[in-house]
Amino acid sequence: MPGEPMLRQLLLITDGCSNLGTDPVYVAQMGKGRGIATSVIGIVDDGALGERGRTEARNIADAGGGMCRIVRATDLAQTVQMVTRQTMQLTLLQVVNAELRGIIGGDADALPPETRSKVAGVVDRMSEEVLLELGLVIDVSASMASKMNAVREAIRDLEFGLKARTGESDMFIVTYPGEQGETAVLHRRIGGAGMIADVIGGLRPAGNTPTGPALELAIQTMLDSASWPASHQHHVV
Amino acid sequence: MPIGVRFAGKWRGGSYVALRLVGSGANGSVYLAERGGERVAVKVADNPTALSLEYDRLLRFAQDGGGRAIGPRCIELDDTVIGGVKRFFLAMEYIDGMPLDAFIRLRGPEWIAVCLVNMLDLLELLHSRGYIFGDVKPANILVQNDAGDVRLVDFGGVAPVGQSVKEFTEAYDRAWWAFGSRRADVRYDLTACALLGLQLAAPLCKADLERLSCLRPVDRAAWLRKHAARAAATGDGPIAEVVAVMDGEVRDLDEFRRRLSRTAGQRRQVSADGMARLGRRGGGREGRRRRRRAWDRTDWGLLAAVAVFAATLVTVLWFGV
Repeated sequence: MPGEPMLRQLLLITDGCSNLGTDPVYVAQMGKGRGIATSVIGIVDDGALGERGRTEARNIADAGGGMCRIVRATDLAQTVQMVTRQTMQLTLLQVVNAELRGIIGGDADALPPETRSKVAGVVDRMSEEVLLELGLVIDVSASMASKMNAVREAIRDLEFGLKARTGESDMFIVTYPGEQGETAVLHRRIGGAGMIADVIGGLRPAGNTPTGPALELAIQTMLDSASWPASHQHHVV
Repeated sequence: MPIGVRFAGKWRGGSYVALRLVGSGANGSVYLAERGGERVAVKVADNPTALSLEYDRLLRFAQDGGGRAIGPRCIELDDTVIGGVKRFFLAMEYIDGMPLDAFIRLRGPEWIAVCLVNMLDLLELLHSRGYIFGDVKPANILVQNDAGDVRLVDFGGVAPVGQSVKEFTEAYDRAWWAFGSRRADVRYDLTACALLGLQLAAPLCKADLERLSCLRPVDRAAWLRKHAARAAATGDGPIAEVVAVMDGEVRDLDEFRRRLSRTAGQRRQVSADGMARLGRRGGGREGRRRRRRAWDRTDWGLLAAVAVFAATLVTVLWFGV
């Protein structure tokens, strides 16, 4: 018997272009194939992102079935919330549309407005109640140093948002590169106390940008079923 | 959407001409449009989900059971093709009003309490049906007339009590300032109104907000309390009432409204007395004090310029002659 439906999504926050390891676009594509949507937020403050960075950000999001936003660091909190919420709606709407195509031969956009608004209500309620596993993949390469406080507070703000939902959620963070030369490091909240945002405060940004390997670690973490409380039987939407 | 473009809804057949862009936000742009000789507001978006939800909320909550208008009357939800692109739109009554912050700048801080009281009345109607407004901010509150009557616009943030607040603006968000959670309850709106009242009386500048966005919420709260203390010392407006909400002393909308009404009443009394004295003696202290502007950098600059000019004049006269 299938359990409660569950959403899995990754959110990549970066200000540059990957320069080490596997191609992140390929990794995002793999993740999509396993039911994990990847969205990207690019930060533009010092122009480090560049045209190449923008293109890569867009390509990762396209391949990962998520959305892409390019913003300034001060708009990060608002954007993180918005992207998380809209990616959930997007994924849920895809599921609903797949069902609708089977029934009416078209998706929700083809419905008359009144009916479409009912579908939107269902999608909204599901996005409030569905189990959510969220992996934040955060670039802490040298150029991010000036933005770390903004990133930390945006994550804290996201935690407030997730805590207010009716549905349960779990969140982990992958930062890259690691301080001891690893390509990426996994952070989880230990026990019930504290906020995961605070791990960001203790990091020293340095090194290059292995975006692909970091996404691989995040996807691997999600696929590892031990990452979710055993009390929940779930299937991936 | 280009101004002047004519478009018709696919399902309902309503025909519109876009007249002017009124505003745009994360969820779309709002246009003033004409529909069969009537002026209407049309919100255009690419994302049909958010727009459909707003339509649903508007339909259910824009008017209360007794026919009192809380928000704009809902006209229709439809879609159309403009310039080869499919667009979803929501048509509603056009409310000819001024955003709350502009109104206060124009009319003075003594109107903050009056407008907040009017706003609390509307929120209470929404709360009595188990929903909160959520995205309280000046742009979403339009003042309709000289009496300070307000209407709420943008029902996209309206949320049932018990669920999470999904649309909010950081500067007026309870969780952002560490005054509570982001779960929808009546006190979420109450706190947002208090934060709004404070920022109408003593606005935060963009640089303040950008700096605060990098601080922990508790540090933001500490900063805000200092800001409120400064405002209470120099400014006008319902600062004491706002601080009482932040301190958890005011527990519901009704209590906040009572305190605000009292202040609004006193203020009116004071200015009436002032005017009376003004009439009797040709200018009392009370009447003049209210008109005085804070001494700012421009004034110092002017003073310096006058001093330099005077010094030059004296020097020229002394040595020149």
